[in-house]
Amino acid sequence: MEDFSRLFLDLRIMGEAFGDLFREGLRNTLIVSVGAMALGLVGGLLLSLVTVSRRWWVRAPARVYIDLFRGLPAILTIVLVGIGLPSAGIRPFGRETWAYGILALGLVSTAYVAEIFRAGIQSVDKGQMEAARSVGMTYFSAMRLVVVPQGIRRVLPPLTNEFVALVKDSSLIFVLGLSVGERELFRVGQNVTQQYGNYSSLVLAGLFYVAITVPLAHLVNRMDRRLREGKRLAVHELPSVVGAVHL
Amino acid sequence: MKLGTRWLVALGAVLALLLTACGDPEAGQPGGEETEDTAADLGLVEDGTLRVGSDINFAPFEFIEDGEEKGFDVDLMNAIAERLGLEVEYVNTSFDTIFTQLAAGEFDAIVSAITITDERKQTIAFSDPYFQANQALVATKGSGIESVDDLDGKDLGTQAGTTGLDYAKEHFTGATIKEFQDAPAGFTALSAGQVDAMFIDVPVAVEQVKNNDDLALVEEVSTNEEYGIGVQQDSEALLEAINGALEEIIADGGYAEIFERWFAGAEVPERFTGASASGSASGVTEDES
Repeated sequence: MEDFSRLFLDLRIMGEAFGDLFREGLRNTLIVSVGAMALGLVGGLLLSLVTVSRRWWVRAPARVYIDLFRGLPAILTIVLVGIGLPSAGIRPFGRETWAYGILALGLVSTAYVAEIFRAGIQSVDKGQMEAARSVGMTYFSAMRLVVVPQGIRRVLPPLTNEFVALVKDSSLIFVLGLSVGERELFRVGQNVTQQYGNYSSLVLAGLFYVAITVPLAHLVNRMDRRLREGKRLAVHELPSVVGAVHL
Repeated sequence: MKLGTRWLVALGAVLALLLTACGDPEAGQPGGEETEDTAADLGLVEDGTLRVGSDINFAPFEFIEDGEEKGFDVDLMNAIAERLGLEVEYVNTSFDTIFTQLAAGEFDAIVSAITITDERKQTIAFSDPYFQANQALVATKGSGIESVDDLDGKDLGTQAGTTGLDYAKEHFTGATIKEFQDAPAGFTALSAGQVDAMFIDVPVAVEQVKNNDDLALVEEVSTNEEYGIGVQQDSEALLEAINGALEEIIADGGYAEIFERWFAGAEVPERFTGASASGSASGVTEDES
């Protein structure tokens, strides 16, 4: 137990590491995570609409994409994007490692988010679509105005899971080679560990991850709760025949 | 008890047993005071086996081929272990945590082309030096980088935790220094054009350039580094044993043989040939009675 405290809970070393972790690590982790999240949300939403298409030849490419990017380990995707593309001559971001990292994680996140949204959309009662069509909406309008908004609201908890995982996956971009200033939390923690021969900085880095993911999760949960309980539709706002019944 | 509660208690008991079993009774025991060279007194994690940590991705010192560890360090360590009557178990690990892991008792020793530095001596103990090396600058042919003076404003790759990185940070202040987890990752990035050059130990650079036609070793920087085998600071018996075996191997030409196998054409440094009076100047006395 003494060894454990000495190697993992040395407060002095944590103090040394704090500055770099806070200024550099936290900033870069947030940049990569938020960037990838944004890509994942947009890409995932669009992709999910493709996966619910009634035409198999529209669904198929989306399925392949999802299977591929969910199946490949994130670290491999990062290497393929960050080193593979440049070696093939494709350098959309020059040498900005963090940009390749965001792209790679965005691609991965899109695959997971697409599945999450798909589950949400498909969980919406068929009656909603039928009712919307019966009042004259096109399939796309019905999706946009009725089905998808409901579908999205239902899947906030799984989305939270995905974002938390994404924040932690951001630690994998070290594999592309980082310079001082570019390092995310894990890399900073790792460097200080090597400097002092002590893991305490990694413990502190871990706490920073928790400090990011816990408020994030709580925030999304609060949105979720407000959407559930806050939305009380007046009778005349309810779509279709259900409106006749008092709630 | 309800069925559910019974299951919980059973699960709790199993977890408690697992936790106690995980406590390693032999970890970190320091070497005994006896001077007899028996394996049991070396304070190993597992009796009879030398558990050696290494970043096995650093050809020609250590690398994996056909599922086996090979390389200069591997051969040397195997020879040392043989003289001590021990088996060797290599554990592949990341270079930038290797010292911490040794200090935490995960290994008996570490061998990974590790340069002996005062900073590292604060965490671990080193054997007598067993290799001399310098650092090399590698760039792609035709990149325009001919020497370390051409590095200003360029991206220079290094391996995290290495003395090459420390040197680069101190001397190449005009360059942007990128750290990679291991040497091959850096060289892959170099080939992909994501860094302009790599700065790493000469033998590794030579090996990479040999296998890669578009890379060239542009400059050798004299840092006069010495590699040592690392052990925990309180593993005195093990350290003495390793130093003794190392001295023997140098004296009877075993070292020269291993050296010629991996660095054919290069001259064995005089201090490591059997010709000189003693292989190292550490003054360690033979402790076999």
